[in-house]
Amino acid sequence: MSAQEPDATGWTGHARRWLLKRLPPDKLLPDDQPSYVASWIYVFGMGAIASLVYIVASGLVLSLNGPAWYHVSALGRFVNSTHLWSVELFFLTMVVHLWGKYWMAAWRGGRALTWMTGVIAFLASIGAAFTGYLLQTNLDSQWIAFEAKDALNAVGVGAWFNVADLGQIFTWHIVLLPLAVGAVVALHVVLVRMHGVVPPIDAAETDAQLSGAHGTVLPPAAAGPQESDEALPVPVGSATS
Amino acid sequence: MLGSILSAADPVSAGTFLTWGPISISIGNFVVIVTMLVVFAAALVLPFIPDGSDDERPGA
Repeated sequence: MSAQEPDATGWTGHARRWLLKRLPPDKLLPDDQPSYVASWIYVFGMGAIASLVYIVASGLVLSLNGPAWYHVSALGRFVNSTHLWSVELFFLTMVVHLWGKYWMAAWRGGRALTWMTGVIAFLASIGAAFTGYLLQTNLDSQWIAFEAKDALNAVGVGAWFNVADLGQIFTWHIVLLPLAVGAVVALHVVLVRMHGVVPPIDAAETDAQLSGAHGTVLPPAAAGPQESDEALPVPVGSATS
Repeated sequence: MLGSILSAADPVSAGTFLTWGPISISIGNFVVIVTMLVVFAAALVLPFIPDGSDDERPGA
């Protein structure tokens, strides 16, 4: 199935051709990565995703068993605690990922939408974490709710986002915000695959790490033309891969 | 009455705060921020895990 298939008709055919052109399977699931990815600063995005997977999995277990289980039983309290600590790890890795991408100006090379989806994922995650704190149903969560109440009213969303309404906050926390975070993170990852992993700033112009020029030693798998094109700051869709 | 209020409040302690002039931060938040800074700096300077595929491609 080629991106150039001439017999693609109808909206499904056009959509398939558009998707194959923007995200061919070898870009979506590549066999190798550029050599510059072999750095610790490039692991934190995947660290955040791994944390998110555990957050969602443990959240499903908590929601299926209910508060009477996770507030009382030993196993429930343990799973509840790991849910909290995986959120701590999620934010830690996401913030380090954010710092790394900020200082390498990761919006270069037509990656502005990738950057913005990361921003939205961060903001949605803050909302999800906030509603999680409200669900502790203790004095701490009540204190947090009424500290935030005035701020939410001040920005005019208090009527739709009522921190004192436990049922509403439960829906935000276990349905709406997880769906939002999951969808935005999925889009973020797809955009990373479409445009390639952003190269370090000093590799952006000559791309020595990718092309193997200037005597740079790199594994043969990382020197392919696909990564070389992806790493250059070119407009979306102009890569020749 | 007062006893029940105090017992309800017992699981939530006031916490310890560090204060520098107008800046006030809890120990917990301070530890997390310092940890992130240390991890970020370490990620920039520590060498990455050697690529195992180098062993299969002598001279690569």
